[in-house]
Amino acid sequence: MERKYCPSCGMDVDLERSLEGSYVMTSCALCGLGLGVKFASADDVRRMQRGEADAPAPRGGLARVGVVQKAQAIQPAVERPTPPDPRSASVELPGTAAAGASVEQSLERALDSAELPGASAEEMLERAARSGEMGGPVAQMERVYLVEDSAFLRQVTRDLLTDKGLAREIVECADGVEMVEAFARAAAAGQKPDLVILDVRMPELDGQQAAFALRAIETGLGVKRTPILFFSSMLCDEHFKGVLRTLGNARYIRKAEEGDVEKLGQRVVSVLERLVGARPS
Amino acid sequence: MATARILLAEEAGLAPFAPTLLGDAADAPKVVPVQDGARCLTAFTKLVKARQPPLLVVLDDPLPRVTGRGTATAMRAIERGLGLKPTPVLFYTAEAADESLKALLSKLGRAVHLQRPADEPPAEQARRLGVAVGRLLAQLRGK
Repeated sequence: MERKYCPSCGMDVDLERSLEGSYVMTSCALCGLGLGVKFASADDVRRMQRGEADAPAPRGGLARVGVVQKAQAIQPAVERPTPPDPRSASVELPGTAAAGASVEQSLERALDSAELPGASAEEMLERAARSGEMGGPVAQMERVYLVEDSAFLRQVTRDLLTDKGLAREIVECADGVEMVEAFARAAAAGQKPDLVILDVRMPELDGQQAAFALRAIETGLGVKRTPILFFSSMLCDEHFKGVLRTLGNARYIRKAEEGDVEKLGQRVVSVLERLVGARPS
Repeated sequence: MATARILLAEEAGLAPFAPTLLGDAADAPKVVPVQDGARCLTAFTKLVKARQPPLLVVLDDPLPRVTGRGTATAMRAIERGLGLKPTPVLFYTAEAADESLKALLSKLGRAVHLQRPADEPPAEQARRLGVAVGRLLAQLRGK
């Protein structure tokens, strides 16, 4: 398996490839940062179109190859009813009271799973739309939770998401506790977010613990996993890499890697395209 | 009649004693051992969904993935989110309660701490826990 140093993650990482037009893009399998580009050979195109995701590349290449899929275009702007605020929604738990035996079975299943399944290689989404190579289909997230203890960084990130039209509604939380409370209420009401952006270092309940609590709520209530984007100034070390794999459907962006907001914005857009298929509108 | 349950999150080797922690009476609450804070939260949420919330949650600290303190904090957040009453929490830790834990207990509400005799064999640690839990449940029933 080919590995390369990723300046965002600060270590050698596995690589992913995607076919974009006539080019093969190589990127970090962990954070999605682009690490190389080359012309696609006919062999590259054949292999990737066959979806040989785990086959070794013929020229000593890459182990994980994602097949490019175009993002689904959303409908033209239509008036949608304003969703209720998840922090004030009435709560009705999904499902009804279970008999004792089924609770036991359900508990055992949950507790016997030694590890949460790791993150599979996300299906690659074409990034050429951002660079203007194709007429950009637009996918906008309905609701995003933004969890950051710094009011300034919350504002910067919120502006970034709204300016690029990535999300219709942004629910801000000042720490992990607020997020867990809002998420539990929203998940029970069937209004969970499309994405949770989490700072790592936060008081009371840090990002890592909040993310595990979020997954526990999802497992406990039987709802689908929400993509998580960690947005942190710390390096993604081996420990944190393991955390991302255990959580599944989670990515990481290092805030300190990009000096200016515009570059950081481009990185956020790039990672969100991969994580949830969101694109700037 | 629904089974009453107590969640026991620890990695100090008390899990094998869970079935007999509160005696073998037919109506004794069932003690469900879990290995870390994340699993404790999963079990808690599953029980809440089944409308059979645990009588008590016993937490060690530290724990993998989510610490005991983090688990209790997240549990309270889940309870607020779902509109539930706070579940009693017993911290059973090797360390004495420091100022930060005392502050947390106060903030959590319905939470107490008992120092685990870490230098005693697990059987003795489990016996003491069983006695403490029995007394705590008796107090809770009395209210």
